Amino acid sequence: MATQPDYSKLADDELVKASQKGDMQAFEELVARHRDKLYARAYSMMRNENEATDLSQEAWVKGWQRLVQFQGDSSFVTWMTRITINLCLDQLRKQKRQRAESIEAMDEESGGVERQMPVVNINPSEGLERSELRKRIDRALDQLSYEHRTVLILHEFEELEYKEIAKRMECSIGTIMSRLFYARRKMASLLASLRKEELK
Amino acid sequence: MIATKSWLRLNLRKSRSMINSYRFLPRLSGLILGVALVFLSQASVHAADLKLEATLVWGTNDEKSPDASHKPVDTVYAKKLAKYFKWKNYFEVNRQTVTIPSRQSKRLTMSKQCVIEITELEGEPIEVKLYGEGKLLNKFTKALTKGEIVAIAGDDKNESAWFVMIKEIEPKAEEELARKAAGEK
Amino acid sequence: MKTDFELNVQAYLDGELPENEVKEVQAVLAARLGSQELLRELTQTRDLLRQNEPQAPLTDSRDFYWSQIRRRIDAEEKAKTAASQPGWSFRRFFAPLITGAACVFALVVGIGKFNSPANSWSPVVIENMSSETTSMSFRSPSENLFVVWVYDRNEELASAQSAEESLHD
Repeated sequence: MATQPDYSKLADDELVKASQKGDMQAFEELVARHRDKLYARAYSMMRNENEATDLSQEAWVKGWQRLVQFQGDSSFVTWMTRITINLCLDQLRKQKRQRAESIEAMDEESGGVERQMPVVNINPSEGLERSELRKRIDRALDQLSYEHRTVLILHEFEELEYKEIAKRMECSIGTIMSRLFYARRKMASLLASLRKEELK
Repeated sequence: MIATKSWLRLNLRKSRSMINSYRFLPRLSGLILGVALVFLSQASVHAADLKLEATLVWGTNDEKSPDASHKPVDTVYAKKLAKYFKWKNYFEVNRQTVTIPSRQSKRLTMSKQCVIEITELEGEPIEVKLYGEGKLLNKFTKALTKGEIVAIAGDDKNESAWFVMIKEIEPKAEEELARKAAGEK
Repeated sequence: MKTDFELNVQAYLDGELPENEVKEVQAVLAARLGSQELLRELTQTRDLLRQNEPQAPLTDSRDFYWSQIRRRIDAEEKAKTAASQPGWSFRRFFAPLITGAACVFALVVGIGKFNSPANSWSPVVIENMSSETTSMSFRSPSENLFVVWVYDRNEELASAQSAEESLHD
């Protein structure tokens, strides 16, 4: 009688091959290993736990359906992260149609807000625990509009090139550059002001 | 009020008419089908997707909520709750609407301590799960009839209480909600 | 308004500047203090973010999370299977018969449901999933309200009394 392999000991590529043959237990092991990362990416973009759970699960379902298309050009988790990002971008586009633009976003497009942002020395990591620093960054990210936050996430955390981001966000490279510039300067300003408040 | 405690497991599966071959029907069958659909659409609570509204309500004898963003709950809920529960005031803490595709689940974080998950079961029943601080505490399955409010509730600190009120959103009510939301912005 | 040069400084930092423009940007950076400060700020921000990506832990248990995914996969596969059936010849011969029966069924069910009162009794299944809590339920036909009251099992007796007291007819 054939014994079940210990899936927890198999490498990702072996699990992927088994999953491509229809082994759902192998796929479950992949889900268990990488679910946190996909959920975190979805949450960073959607800023809503329910939506992040929903979209990350949908990404796994699509991953299962499209497994035969995975050729190993990138790592499996990178491939799944791309699926997650695309689902989040689709959802954000749908929401954008239903939502009025924020004043901040409109101001950014005209360049008004940036004129008021002096260059700052952010260095907010002094004396801070990493977890506290991450929380501050998270709070600051929350204050960006979804366009700026998305560009920042795709560039800084996913390390996509301008061209790739422009393609995914369906806009020009110039727009991506402007948004990234604004987002970085805004984050620097927010993190510096958070630090100032701490020192008061 | 009727207090009940039931441990029966009941599977309320109802078959659905398959109308994919509508185009191929003779005229008489088409007429019968049309009449049947009118009755079904009037009577049946659930379309393919289920639209629900869940409201977290805080019941208290305090005059005001410590959180300024909490406003008094709407009069329909206030009347129902005041009729049966002892607290003087009821405040709306969180309200969410959700669309649940057929035979799928959606999770709603009503507060940091309170998460509910609603599953649309085939036919009328819904399943509601209550999670407290990440732990599954309670689960119930009930048919959601037209206009009915289903709630899960419990005690809160300082002799107050919490209620999660769930109801189906009717199409006209949905338009009203959208108008209200636009007005609030 | 941000200038093209500022965007070029950013592109230089990100390695996205065309080669023929790199030297030009480097020359200006060497000459202008303000531009150097801007580059420093952009670099600090980039490095800080990359080294400290916020975490968002998933609180769902492994089994629960997987069960949601599995349910969706099964539902989609079932939908695909249903869509791929039946063939043209099946529809041609059996569709009128099946559809006719379905019409009658739908009519009977629909009329039955249409005539049934909104508050008619329907079975409820309640399960206490934690050893620490228990529950009781209340129904008001007149208010069309059904409540499941969850309370601490350790305070069961006191809570039951409190729940009864908290109700008034």
